[in-house]
Amino acid sequence: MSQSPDEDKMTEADEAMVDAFLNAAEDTIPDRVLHQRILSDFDAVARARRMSGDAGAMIGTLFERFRMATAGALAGFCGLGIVAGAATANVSNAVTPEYEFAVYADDAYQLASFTSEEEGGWAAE
Amino acid sequence: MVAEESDETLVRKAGRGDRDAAALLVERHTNRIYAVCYRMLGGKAAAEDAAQETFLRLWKNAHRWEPKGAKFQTWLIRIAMNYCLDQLRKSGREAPEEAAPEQIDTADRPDDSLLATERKRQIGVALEKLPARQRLAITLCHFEEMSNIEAAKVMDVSVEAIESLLSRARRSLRDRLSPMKPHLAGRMSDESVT
Repeated sequence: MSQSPDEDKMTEADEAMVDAFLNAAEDTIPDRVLHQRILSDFDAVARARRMSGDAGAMIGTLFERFRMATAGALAGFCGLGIVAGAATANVSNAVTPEYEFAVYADDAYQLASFTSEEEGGWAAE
Repeated sequence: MVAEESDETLVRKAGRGDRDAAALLVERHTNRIYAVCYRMLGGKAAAEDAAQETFLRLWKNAHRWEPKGAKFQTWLIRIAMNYCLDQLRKSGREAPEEAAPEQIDTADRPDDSLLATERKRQIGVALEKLPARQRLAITLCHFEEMSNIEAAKVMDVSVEAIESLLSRARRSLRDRLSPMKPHLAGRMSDESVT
């Protein structure tokens, strides 16, 4: 059976009664240990953040150094190229006629040797 | 002096690793957070875990916390509230919105020193039987003495909604606890004198 709105309405006495019940409810005071537990969590989070901060800084430093090393290597290669170029500026590697003749003569000799070996083979057969 | 600093300043300091600031925040807010969790979850161990988890979430986010118009305390209670509601949902203990009032056994009890404890337990049970949001509204407005406006901010609802939740909660408590009235009224007045 449902109540009518009037029946369901809280009277002043009802309000006072509910207040009295609520005021008589159990107190809720936590142990001090809870404070310590919460602060321990703070320490753990702060420590983890410090460590991750240190690791981040270390990676940053390494990255910075690595970047400088790359730049240094590139600069070094460029420098070496310039020095080598300057040092060999007057050196010529042009082929001399004598050298050319020697190469042709060697080739001709090789070819002749090959042909005579083949002929020797047929002769044996 | 550190003790006069606002919560907002202390949170920023705690976010930068200042332990003294964190300790002061714990000192200021642990009891209230614990009380809200206790009323919501109805047990010491569960309330302690919930309060600890609430603060853990604070520590993890303190370095990037921005007021955004909400008071720190409102924000912190909201974290606790959401955690408690999650726990109630997970455990399936969230009472239905219109749960029928359960009558309390009013059989005569021996007049002993345990009566007050028993009464507190009965009131605790009656509170626990309330739907979660009604219980939260009662907790914030009655036990934590927040205004309806503050409670509405915490619960992220309108003031009218808070008033409606409170009204239903109080009617429900009346229906559940009124059978205890003749038996307990005298006791309550005795205790209030002592």
